[in-house]
Amino acid sequence: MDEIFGIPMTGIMLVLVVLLVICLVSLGWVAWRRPVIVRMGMRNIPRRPAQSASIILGLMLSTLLISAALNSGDTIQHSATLHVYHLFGHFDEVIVHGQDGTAQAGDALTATVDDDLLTLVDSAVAGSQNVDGILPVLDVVVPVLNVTRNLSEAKVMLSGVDGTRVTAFGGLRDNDGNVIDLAGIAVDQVVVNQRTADALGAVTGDVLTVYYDNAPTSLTVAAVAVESMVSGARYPGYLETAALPGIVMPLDRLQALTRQPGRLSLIAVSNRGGVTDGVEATDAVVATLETALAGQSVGVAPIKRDGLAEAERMAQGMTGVFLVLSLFSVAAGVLLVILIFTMLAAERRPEMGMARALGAQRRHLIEQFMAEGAGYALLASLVGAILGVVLSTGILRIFESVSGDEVAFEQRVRPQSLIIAYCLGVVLTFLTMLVASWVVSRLNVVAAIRDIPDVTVRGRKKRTLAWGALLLLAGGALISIGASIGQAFPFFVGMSVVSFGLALVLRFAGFAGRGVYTAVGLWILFVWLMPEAVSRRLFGEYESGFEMFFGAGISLVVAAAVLVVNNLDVLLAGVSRTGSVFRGWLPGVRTAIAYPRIAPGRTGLTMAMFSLIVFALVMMTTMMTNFAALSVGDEASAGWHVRVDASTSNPIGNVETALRDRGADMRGVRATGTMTTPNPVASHVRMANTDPWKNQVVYGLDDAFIHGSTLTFQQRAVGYQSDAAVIQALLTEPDVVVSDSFSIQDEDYGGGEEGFALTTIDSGDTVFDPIWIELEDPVTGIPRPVKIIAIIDGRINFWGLYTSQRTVDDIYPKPAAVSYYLNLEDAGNARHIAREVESALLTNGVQAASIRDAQIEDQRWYTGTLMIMGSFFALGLVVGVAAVGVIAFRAVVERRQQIGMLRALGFQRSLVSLSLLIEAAFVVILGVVVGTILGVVTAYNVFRSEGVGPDGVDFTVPWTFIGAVLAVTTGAALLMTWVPAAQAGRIPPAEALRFE
Amino acid sequence: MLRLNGYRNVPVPQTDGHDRGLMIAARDVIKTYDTGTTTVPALRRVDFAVGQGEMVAVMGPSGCGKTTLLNCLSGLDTIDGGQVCLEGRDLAGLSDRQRTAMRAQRMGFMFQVYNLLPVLSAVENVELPLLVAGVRPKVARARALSALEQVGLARWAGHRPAQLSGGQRQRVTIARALVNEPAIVWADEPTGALDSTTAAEILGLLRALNIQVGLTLVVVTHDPGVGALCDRIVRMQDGSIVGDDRPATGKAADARRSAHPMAMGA
Repeated sequence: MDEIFGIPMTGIMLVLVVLLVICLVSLGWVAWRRPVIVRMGMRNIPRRPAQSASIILGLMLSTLLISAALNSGDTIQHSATLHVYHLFGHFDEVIVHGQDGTAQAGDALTATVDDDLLTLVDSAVAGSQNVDGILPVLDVVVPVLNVTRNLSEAKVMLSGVDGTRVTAFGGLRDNDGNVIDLAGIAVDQVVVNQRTADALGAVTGDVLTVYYDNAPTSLTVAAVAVESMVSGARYPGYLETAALPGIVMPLDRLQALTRQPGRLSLIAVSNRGGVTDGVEATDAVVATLETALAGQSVGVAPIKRDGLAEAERMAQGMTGVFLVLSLFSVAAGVLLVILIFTMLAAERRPEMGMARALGAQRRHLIEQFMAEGAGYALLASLVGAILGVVLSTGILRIFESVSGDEVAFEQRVRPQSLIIAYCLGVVLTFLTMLVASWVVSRLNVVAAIRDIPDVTVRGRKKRTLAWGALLLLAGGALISIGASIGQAFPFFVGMSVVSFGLALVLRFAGFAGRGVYTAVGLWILFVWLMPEAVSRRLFGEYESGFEMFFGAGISLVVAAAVLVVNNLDVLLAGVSRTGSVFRGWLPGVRTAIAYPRIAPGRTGLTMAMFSLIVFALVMMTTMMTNFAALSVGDEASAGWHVRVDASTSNPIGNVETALRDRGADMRGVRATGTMTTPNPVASHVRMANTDPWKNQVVYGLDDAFIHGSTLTFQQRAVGYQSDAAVIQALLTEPDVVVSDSFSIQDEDYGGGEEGFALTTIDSGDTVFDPIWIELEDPVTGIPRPVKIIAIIDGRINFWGLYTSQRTVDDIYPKPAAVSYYLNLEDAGNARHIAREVESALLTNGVQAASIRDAQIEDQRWYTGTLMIMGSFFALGLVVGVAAVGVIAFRAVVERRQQIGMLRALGFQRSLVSLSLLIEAAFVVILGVVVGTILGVVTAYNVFRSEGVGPDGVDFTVPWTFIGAVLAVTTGAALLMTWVPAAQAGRIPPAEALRFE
Repeated sequence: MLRLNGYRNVPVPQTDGHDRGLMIAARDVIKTYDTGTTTVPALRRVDFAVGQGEMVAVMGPSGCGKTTLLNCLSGLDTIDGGQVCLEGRDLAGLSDRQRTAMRAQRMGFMFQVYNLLPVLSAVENVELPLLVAGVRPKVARARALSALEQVGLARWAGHRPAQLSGGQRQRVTIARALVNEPAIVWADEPTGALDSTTAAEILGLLRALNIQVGLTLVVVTHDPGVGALCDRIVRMQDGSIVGDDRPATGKAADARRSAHPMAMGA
């Protein structure tokens, strides 16, 4: 990838390398001037190998996740780029029907152009240094039967090309690389590509029957060519992987066969150079062609360059999502660094006090910690960056497995990404360590030497006030910015910051910390967890995006941690009472709860780590599950059970009559309906009186479809009081349209800049004024005003604009795709009926499927995405597990003498271990429970907010998945504790008592 | 100041100690530490016996094996040879679980560095042995408060060790050592970290308990003053017992007199 979040990757790398160099030079300076300090720091690393390994594990995870995200992006882009080159070959641009010089490749499906254009194009590029080939092409989609093998394929791309011009486009070659002379094949022969050969079992000499306009034509296979654009491979989208099978024949013969003399679907242009470097000339070629073709109702689509841009965009999108998901784990990693250093500082407090007494400056203590931390960070980040590559491979393999056989990634490791991940990991750890070391170096020398709590001094109160004022100012500024630009993120983050500022001021004024911070925690929880309706009433309306997910997570977890830490005694009393039920456990419970109580900061940090990741995991998986459930609800199919996609090259007419005539067993079919579209990729649509056309698919519904559907609407225009009124209008009024609910978005959401969005209506408006929009006549370019009178219920899987067939016929020349829908008496019979239909209408080239089956197939994608997200967050949970391990190992070391005393007092080994396990379990379970509650409530609020989850849909929580992940996490955390706990139990008491 | 209400009625020992039942009987005890490169004999065929109600001091230079002897006799550490019997039970024949249970029910411990749990308050530290022994929490709390009262720390029950002085901490350890009414208390340098006044106060307290309730005490110490207060002084050198004296007169006798309830004003 060259950019991420719009920032050049090279720039990011340079900045990070400079920062890393600054860190290393600082360390080198210390090593040169005070080598003993660096030695002291470094020598701490091998002292306790197990603990050092836990620290490295915890620290490397941030780097690992960043590395995995960047490497996934690189691999996706690399694979997609290769795919684009493979897909388009020498096809750099295509000239297709269009208006005002604009065109997209999909327009070739809707209209043809006159082959007179070819002369114009040839003369325009004659002598051009940038173009080395022009190829006229006519495409039709037809059903094909291999008579020899008795195998059929419903949709095959039959392509006619000028055989004398294919050389510049790589020509036609068989699998052995031999050139196939298309111009030289016999009149009744065709060349099939490998995909067709596979689908039909076709070999040279087989006889194929091609149906066009319901008339059969017999053609013999002259040769099998490798799959390419020249041999008929066409993809619905740039990065689609499932191409139709292709058959190619000379252009004039296909024009004759389809009775389209002098017509072309497209004219392909090959830029000078090879498959990869020809794209550089795209701008120049497009400019030349657009000038030459001005006023011709055609456009030039730079398909290869657009495909490459799409590859980059997709890679950036995926990387962005992974990076945002990583933020939670990175934040947890930062907390882990702070925790580790706090613990190390607590352990070495008397040493540090003594060092200070002997004349060491505070900066010397900081330098010692930095030296030790640098050792961990340099090693951990290296391991993390490398393991990130392994993780990205795993993620992409899962992606492949859920995406079907057609998706295959080719691993690409770019040094740039590894360097960025490594530098970011080291620099992040360095900065965190610097802050943590600075904090722990602030010690009272006497108290440190005696290892007793620091004495509060008055000077701190002034600092408290200063911090309070600073936070109030910062929070106020954020609130003000948020309010002025109408953005929720700065506004609500500001609310959180202000409440902390206020808390510090109140503390300065002498209010008790517990009350103040409890109030702050509750307030922040209220602010972020309140339903959208309440929020709107209290604070007004704000726009929000994906960043709110992170803002909410951090704020909620911080608030919960503050609340818990300030009320630990209440929680611990509960644990104590529970523990008292088991009399034998009581001493263990008593010691177990004592440690978290006396170290609330440590408890809060560990809990926050777990809560943060669990929050993200629960929130995302719950949202995904609910969105996935939307597409499989009973309402999703609007009452239809079987969908039959037909080819326009072999019109069926009345589907019921056709089926009856062909003897299909149609008992149990209650109703049928027809839906057509002038362009299945996108038609040009725009809001009335606006300039640029946007892309949206437009569908026409016949009366039977409108009658037979259980269409419901979530919002209706003024004058249409009920769903029945909308249905009646679709049946009787001209130029009325209904839209899917997902079009109600910001301009730049969903379909990108070119996607059509309804920007004048809000999801919360139950009634709206009719929205006038314009549909472009693709032949004349004339805009046709129509009005949107309702928004389809979000539970129904209809995407696009829907109007009556009459309206579509008025605006568009002919449908490019036709689908028939069947309503059955017994929904369970759908698969059988679909097979019946396919068999009966074989020569028409139909594809029929149970809608329910298709929905379940779609579910695989959600499941796969859920798995990837789960895996990603599960890795974040490793940070928490590592933290628990570090804490447990440290606890055993710190408390060795105390453990000896407990054993002397009569604690059995098992009781000592149990005590440590209960202590860890308390923190882990608290974190998991808090994170789960916050995640579920937030997901509920988001799903129930306007424009997200449709009304009336049940909200479900994937408890099984969440429960399994959290049980494994808790189990892993307890296992990490069990090892040192068991070790603690085995310490001989006399040896433990001797320990210093 | 000292009240010993509720402590079980143990016969006050005779001063000569000759006709008492044996609390501890150790024969030919061998303990060797293996550091990996060298082996260090810590106890060399030590014979040692303590009668019920006796207060015995174990003295000797640093590294002579005093603490090792205490650990081996109390079952905190295992021995490599010989036999240790506590109240007639051979420790070698007991499992770790049984030895631990025996410590919980029959022994109390005091150490130079107090070894209080810093995260627990004074009363929570004191009640811990009772909870281990299965006493109901409310009863345990009452008895722990009572024990703290006996050592003069009732007002400090809710304080954590870091909030107490050295003498106060050692009083808490005394209360903890005695709260489960042990048959024997092992004290390893109990006054080592205390100033002379506080040390004298703590020793007076221990001696009073020894005399009034017949508590058996084994005290490891460097301090000749401590030894002088005991019924016997066992001297060690290089892992062997080299002397066993009975300071029948002097401070020990004075201590016995001053520890009499009438004399303490209890």
